[in-house]
Order: sequence, then structure tokens, then C-alpha cells
Amino acid sequence: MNESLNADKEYKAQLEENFLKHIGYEHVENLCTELDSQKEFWKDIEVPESLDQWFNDFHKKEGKRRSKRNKNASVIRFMKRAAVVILFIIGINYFLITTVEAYRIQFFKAVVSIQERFTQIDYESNNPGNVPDLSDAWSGRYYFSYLPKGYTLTENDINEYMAELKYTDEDGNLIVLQQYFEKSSSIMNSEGGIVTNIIINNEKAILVEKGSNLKIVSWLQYDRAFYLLAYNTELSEIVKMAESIKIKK
Amino acid sequence: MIAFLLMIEDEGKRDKLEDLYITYRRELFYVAYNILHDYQDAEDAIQNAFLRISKYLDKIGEIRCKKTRGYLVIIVRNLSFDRFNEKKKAVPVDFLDETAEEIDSEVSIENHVLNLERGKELAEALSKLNSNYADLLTLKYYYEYSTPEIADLLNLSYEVVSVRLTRSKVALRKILSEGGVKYE
Repeated sequence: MNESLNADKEYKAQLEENFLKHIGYEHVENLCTELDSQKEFWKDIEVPESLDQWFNDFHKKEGKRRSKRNKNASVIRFMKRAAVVILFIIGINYFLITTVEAYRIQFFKAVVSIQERFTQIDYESNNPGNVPDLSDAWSGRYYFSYLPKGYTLTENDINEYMAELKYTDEDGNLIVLQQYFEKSSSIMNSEGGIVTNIIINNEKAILVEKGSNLKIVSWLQYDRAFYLLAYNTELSEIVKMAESIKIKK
Repeated sequence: MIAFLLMIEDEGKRDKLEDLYITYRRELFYVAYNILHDYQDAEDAIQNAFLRISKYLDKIGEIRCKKTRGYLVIIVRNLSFDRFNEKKKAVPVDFLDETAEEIDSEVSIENHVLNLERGKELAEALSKLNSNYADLLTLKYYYEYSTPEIADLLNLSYEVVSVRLTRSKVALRKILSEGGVKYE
């Protein structure tokens, strides 16, 4: 019963709206007829030039505003499309990962490979080298916080005059760090080598290059003398290692 | 300047706003001047009208038709009346003080909606009673503008438009109930 009443009300409201629309239509017809009957008064009327000027300025501004709005709308449209494409690609990817085994293997291999690469970068930049491999007995001695790629600590030795660390890589290349304590003395064999002065951590250092592959650097720093011996290693890497020495606490 | 505007002969190259202005500027200026009797005021009314119309360009279809012409005339003349009242510091008085409820109980429009042939006469009667009523009803039901849009177009508050729309329906009902036209 109520539904019938509502439908009846709705019908009457629509009828009334249409009637009012018709009144509006007739009102516009009357307006136009009235204006046409007065055409002789307005057809040659002089519109002030200042109004034309105003309209021209307004139209230009409006044009710029519309063009800016259209550009923004285009960017938003493009972004929406791009989002749809990205979502589509993600969807396809997800579908392939869950359904095609070969694709899944390749995908996870790629992920693992990327992860490994990142881990490697992290190691070089932040890991303080060989600290975990050094015993507590090494406390108060220095070690390299930077090592060239591929080198690992293979030997360490401490006596009352000196401490020594040896690092090797897969090709058997050797890097040695020796540190001599106060009141000790050592002789550097520079025979047949080229001796030059370099700077390590703002301290004077001596570089001896023997043959084409052996380089020895000696310098005084903190309370001790350091010797760094390296085979087949670039001087820049040697300097980097020497400048990276840190004390084990 | 006008030479520049008229030089754009190719209508396809003009945009809608430009086309509206070039097509109707004379008669719109005439409508405004006829109410305000002052060139500067008439100019201001036209400017005000185009500022407002430009916001609703999407609602305008064909340029050269009675519907668009009537729409522009309604906007310009209402803004001109508004400016006229503002200058004279006059408050527009609505003709009918009766409440809508009182009239509602006596007459209903749906009893008369089939008298479509009387539409022209009714529109004329309503316009003569108060042109503002006819204009508002036309904007609302023929041009299908919402009440806030009408308020924006005619520089009126939402409340004023709502009240006047109600009163225009009351006025129309009264005309219908009297079975003819009551000229004031």
C-alpha cells in the first residue's frame, strides 16, 4: 500500500517537473519573441569598446587557465593509465610466479642475486674486516678495517715485540700487516727496490717497490711502527688499507 | 579590438565563450542598458555575467538557438536588476507573502499539468507577475541547474534562491487556481 502511494507521489512529482519545464520553455520562447520585436533598437547598438577590450583580456586569461587545467588533467589521466599498466604487470607477474615453475625459479634466482649483490656492498662499506676472527689476545692491536675484495685473514701472530696479520686471496696473493711496539727496532730490506715518500693518515711513510708485484709501506702512527707488505696490489688499495687501521678493543 | 574579434570569421576556430560573446553582445548590452540606463553599469553587468557563465560553459550546447539566447538574457537581466537594486539600495520585494503551505492545501499543480496549451499564457502571466520567478523556474526546470548553481550564477544566496523558487511555484499555483492571468 505504501509502495503504491510512493509510486503515485513520484509520478506526480515527475509530472509537475515536466510541467514546470514546459513553463520554462515557453518563458524562453516569450523572451526571444520579445527581444526580436525590439530588434530595431538593439541591432545597431554601439557596444563600448572598453567592454570588447575587457572581454579580450578575460578570454585570454580564461584560455590560459583552461589550458593549464587540461594539462593537469592529461597528467592525471596518464598517471592513471600508468598505474593500470603497472598493476597489470604486477598481476601477470604474480600469476606466472604462482602457476609457472620455470618462471618462479628464474624470478627467485634474480631476487637472490640482487640480494647477494646488496649484501656484498654492505660488507665492503661497513664490516670492520676480520674482527670476528681475532682472539681476545689481539686486544690493543691494530687490524685493517678495509680489505680488497677476495682477501681473508689466514694467520695471526703475536710476540712481545710485534704482532702480524696475514691475508690471502684465492689466487694466493698475500698481504701482511706488521706492527712493532715501542722500544723495538726493525730493518726494512729495500735492496734493489725503488724508494719513495708517501703520506698515510697525515704521517710520512716510505714506499718500497720491488720488482713489478711487491710493495712495502712503512710508517709510524700512534705508538708504533707499521709495515704493510702486499703482492699484486694497486698502491691506491694499499694506501686505503693502511689508512683504515683500527685498534681492537 | 572589435575588428580583431570579427576577423575570426572561421567559427570553428572560435571557442564557445568567444562565440557566445560575439553572437549576443549587442542584445545583451541592450537588455542590461534597458534596465540600468547607464553605459558603465551595463558594461559591469555584462562582465559579471560572462565571469559567471564561463564557469558553466559545459552546460551550454548549441550557440545559435533560443535556449542559449534565453539563458544569456536571463542571467544578464537578473544581474542587471541586482545591480540596479544595489545602486538604489532597494530590497527586492516578492509579490506573494502567503506561505507555501497555505496555498499548497488549496491548489495543486498536477491538476493543471495537462493544460499544456496554456503554458505560453502561464509563463507570460508568471513573468508579468514577477520576471524573477519565471527566470528562476526556467533555470531550475528547463536548464536543469541546481539551486547552488543558480545562486552562483545570479549572485544570490542559496537561501534566497530556495525561498524564491518556492514562492514562484506558489505564484504559479495561484495563477492556475484563479483560472487565468492576474496582472499587477
